[in-house]
Amino acid sequence: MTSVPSPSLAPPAVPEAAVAKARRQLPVRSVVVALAGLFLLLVLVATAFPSLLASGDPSATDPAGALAAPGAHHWFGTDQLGRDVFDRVVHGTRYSLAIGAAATGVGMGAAVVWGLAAALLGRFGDAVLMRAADALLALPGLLLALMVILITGKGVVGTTFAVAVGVAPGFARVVRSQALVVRRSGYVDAAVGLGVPRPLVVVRHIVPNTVGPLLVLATLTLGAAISTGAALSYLGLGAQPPTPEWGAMLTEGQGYLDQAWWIALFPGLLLVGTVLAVTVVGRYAQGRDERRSVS
Amino acid sequence: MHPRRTVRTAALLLPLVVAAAGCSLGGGDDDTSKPGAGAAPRSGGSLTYATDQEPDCWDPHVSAQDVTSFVQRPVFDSLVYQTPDGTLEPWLASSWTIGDGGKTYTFSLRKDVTFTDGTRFDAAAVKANFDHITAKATQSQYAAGILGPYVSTTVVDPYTVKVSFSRPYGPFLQAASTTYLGIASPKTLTAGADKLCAGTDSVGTGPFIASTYVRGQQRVYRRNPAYKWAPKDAAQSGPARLDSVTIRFVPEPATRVGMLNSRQVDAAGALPANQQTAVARNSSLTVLSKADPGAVDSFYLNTKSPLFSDIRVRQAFQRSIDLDALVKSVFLGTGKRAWGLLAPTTPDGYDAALDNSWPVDRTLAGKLLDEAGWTGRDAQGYRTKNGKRLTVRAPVYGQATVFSQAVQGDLKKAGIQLDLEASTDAAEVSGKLDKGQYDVVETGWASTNPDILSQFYLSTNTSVGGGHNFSHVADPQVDSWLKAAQAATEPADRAADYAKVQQWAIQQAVVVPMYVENSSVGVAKNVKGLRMSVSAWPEFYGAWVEGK
Amino acid sequence: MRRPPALLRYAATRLASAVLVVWAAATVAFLVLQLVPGDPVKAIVGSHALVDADQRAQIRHQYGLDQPLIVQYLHQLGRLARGQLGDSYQLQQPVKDVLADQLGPTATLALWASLTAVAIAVVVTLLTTGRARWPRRVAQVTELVVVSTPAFWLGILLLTVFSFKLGWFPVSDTGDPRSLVLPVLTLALPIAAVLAPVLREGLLGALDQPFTLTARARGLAEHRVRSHHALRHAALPALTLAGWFTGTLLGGAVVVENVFARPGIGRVTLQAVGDRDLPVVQGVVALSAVVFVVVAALVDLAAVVVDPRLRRETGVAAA
Repeated sequence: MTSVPSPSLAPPAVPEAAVAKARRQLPVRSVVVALAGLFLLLVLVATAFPSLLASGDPSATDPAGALAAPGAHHWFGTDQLGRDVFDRVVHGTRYSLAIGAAATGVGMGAAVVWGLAAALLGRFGDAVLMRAADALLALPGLLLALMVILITGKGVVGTTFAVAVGVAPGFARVVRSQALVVRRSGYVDAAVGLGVPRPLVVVRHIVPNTVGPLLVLATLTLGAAISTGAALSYLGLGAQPPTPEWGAMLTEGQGYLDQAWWIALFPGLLLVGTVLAVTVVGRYAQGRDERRSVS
Repeated sequence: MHPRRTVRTAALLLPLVVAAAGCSLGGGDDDTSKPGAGAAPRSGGSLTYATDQEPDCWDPHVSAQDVTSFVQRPVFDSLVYQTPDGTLEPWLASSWTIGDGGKTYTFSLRKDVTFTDGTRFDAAAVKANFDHITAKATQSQYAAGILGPYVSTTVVDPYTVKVSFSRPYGPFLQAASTTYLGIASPKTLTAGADKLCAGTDSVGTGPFIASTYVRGQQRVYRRNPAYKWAPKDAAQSGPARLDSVTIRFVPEPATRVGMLNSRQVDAAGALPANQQTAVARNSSLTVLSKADPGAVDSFYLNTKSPLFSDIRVRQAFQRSIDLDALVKSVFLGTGKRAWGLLAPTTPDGYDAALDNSWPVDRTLAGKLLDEAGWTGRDAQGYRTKNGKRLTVRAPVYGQATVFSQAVQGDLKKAGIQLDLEASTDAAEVSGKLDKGQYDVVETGWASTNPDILSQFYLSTNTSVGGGHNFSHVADPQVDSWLKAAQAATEPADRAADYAKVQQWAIQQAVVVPMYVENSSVGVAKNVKGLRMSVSAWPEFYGAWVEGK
Repeated sequence: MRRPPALLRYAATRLASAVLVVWAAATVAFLVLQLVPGDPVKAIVGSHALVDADQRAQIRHQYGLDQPLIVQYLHQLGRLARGQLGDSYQLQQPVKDVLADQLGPTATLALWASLTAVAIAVVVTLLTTGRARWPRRVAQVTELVVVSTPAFWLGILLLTVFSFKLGWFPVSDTGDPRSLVLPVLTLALPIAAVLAPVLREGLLGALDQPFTLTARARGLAEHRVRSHHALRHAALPALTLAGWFTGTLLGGAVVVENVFARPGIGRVTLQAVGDRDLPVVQGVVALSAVVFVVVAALVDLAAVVVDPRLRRETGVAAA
């Protein structure tokens, strides 16, 4: 990425890359990284095996024990229907993280096809695909997400696609420029010169060398994706109750801030914590990646 | 805990308040001018009210939204006034006669009324309004509908007007009392749909004049100094006491309640149940609440669905829900468990015989399900039959309510899975309803007319035809009871027929009535004279603010 | 104005690509909204059964929905070219009027938020690029936490503490300028938290550059070196964030206007999505694209002002 805005009308920058750049220069201490890593590990365990951490049923109601404060029996208290907030937060990890991860994955997958096609299909294809990316980049991510939800309807699946659509065009531009660099590199020339069939060159050389560097960027995007997913839930368009998604739980708990702060506080902390941890780890990985490529 | 929804929603699941009459329920109060108010009414001052919804279209003749009728009530008067307890009395019409066996209504109009743009109110103005409502170009989504078998309006003399119907139409007087049939200045009716809908050209004869409006923010109302035609039941006559009223549109419940608690507004509507107790605890605030009469919020069981065509399964479903506990925990004492289809406040319709007649009984429910073949259990504890889980499909428009989630949790204990299929796609939801692809539909319909039962149980009122017979009831006996009730002239006879229908519905387990809903408004204690109208919205006419 | 032909050529290319982006955004929106399931007429009248088949047909005709898709598309483009956006399904008014009404509050909010974000970022940068390490550490951690906090949650927290508990600021817009403070902060803080590190990196880089040494050698005070020379250099990478910045402001407006009960484009957008009011959604898309294009042009102009090296390249004689 150049540090000077190009005079063309192409969007001034790929936002993710710029944001990532902004984020990565903090010299991350290994202790912090270790803590973040540990936290993420817990989050991953909660995603894969929620029952290991919280044995209760996240949707079991208990009207008599509603709005109980945090204590020995209910670590994070209970909500307005007497559901255990700890159980719900742990089981909710699955939805919040999955929406973020799946959206990033889907967005990246689409971007790889999109960017590669632009880089390899010749001038006309490149122009059409990149103008389309420009058009989408010209729109706020949240507006795109809202449009997607008009089509898919509310819910976990709709939210995933909505967030993915916001991620894809920026990535597509990065993939394209990366692919152009790789295509002009010596080993691709060599492979073509050796008579390796074109499709095989694409699959064997161009794809891996293009996608590799993206993975780090993806980690950094994951945080933003989780956040956007939660925002959609907050607007009432994402995961629907009683799904214990963090954003949806925040919304439900918001009405009880006066009487039962714990309903909204814990999913909020988990949300911020996860995004924070993902960002710290992602930036650490990126720093390593760059040091490796420099040396 | 329903937020008030638009009628677009209503058409699907929760039909709006057609009309309401009622009394206060449990702890609530519906009038801040009750004894103890002390000081004498004060003229002047202003009041700010926060509400959750904002009308899309402000023309009550066009809009089907509940909120439109509320925000335009201060501006538009009607021919007839319905008092908070449901009595109909003269307003812009000083009297009326019903002729031709109920097919014509002749109104004598007040002669001292002028619109706030200076136009005289007369028979021609009334005709212009009814013509506007029924004109094709108006594309009325609701007002034309409640005119029923309307034929025409004739000006008999300058202050006498006759409205004719093609068949006897009893509900007309009540309809004429709603804001939907409010009388607007004939001059504005030709302004064009966009201006009327934008809310910038609302001119009526009401106690307040529509002033500045900023979409997404607020509308301001100024006092109409010439007002002297209030209905008799109003607490006063002459101009309104408040100089101005401001209605703010605040969609976030937490923000709305926060504004009330920090006294940034004087009153706030659509209070979530959990906040009502908190607001009531605040020594400078009080809660006005009023039960909605009409068909209570209920599960209508689809008797044609594969699951619920078996009456044993229906009965098991009906007896598996611990409504007493659920209503208590969700509504925190602000709602009441229902036993019959019609709320206790519905005139000539409530059937007390049903009270306590079908308490929760999971043992009985279990026995019935065993008999019906649902004997297996899967890993999550749900009952199964031939490997298939006992799942009850419930299409939901928008977001599932806290109450239905609570029911979902409760049914799980009985091994029944309630699948709340939430969707924002109105077409998808109405498609499911039209095709009968559901097991239950949750809905209610506030109304003062017990004939609301016909909407749900007359065999011809299917969802495809625009009715609400979600249970697919097609029983000649039920039809004949309903028709007899409509024709009956004696209230007691009507009540007897409606009671038969309600008892039949419970015995056949085609319905599970759940709770009687309250509309609640949080009000600062220095606001006096604010009262809940028949349709459970606050009336600003008699209100004043102490020491401000 | 040394080389008008180059300038003209530049302006023409810019205009052409600007039109291209707006056209592409409108086309994408048109195509995407075709995929919205269900009958648009049902979205217009609701599913209310009091509307008969005749009336439905009339509505279909009124909105041109009985035309072939390509005709609808061309109509849409034709309207757009004339600055028209069609009629809203729900509000029964021209979309243009609706958006024009709502643009003011959102623009005010966005403008103040931008200024605040830039001001915070600049101040934080200047304060944290000194010798001492710890202010930088504190700033970096704070920035990270703010970036990781969803905007809506930040808004709710600010609202609960400063409006409901302390009563310092009123919630919704009453003409009181204080009502702008919390929504502006909610929008500005996350942006400042992204902007500050970029500025800091640029400034630290600039302080190592020869021109800084020259300026110092000329005897300029350190704060002048920083604010006049180095910061100007550091602004360039920050300018590349402008596109992201604009999108965040518009997207953030949806959340902030809802939480703070403010009027504006974001509020209208959310209501339009809820009501499936497609013409309004299309209008908002067109508006966003235009805003984006204009901001991109302004940013390029700003870059030229900030960096003299770019002037020759573009032929724009600025500053």
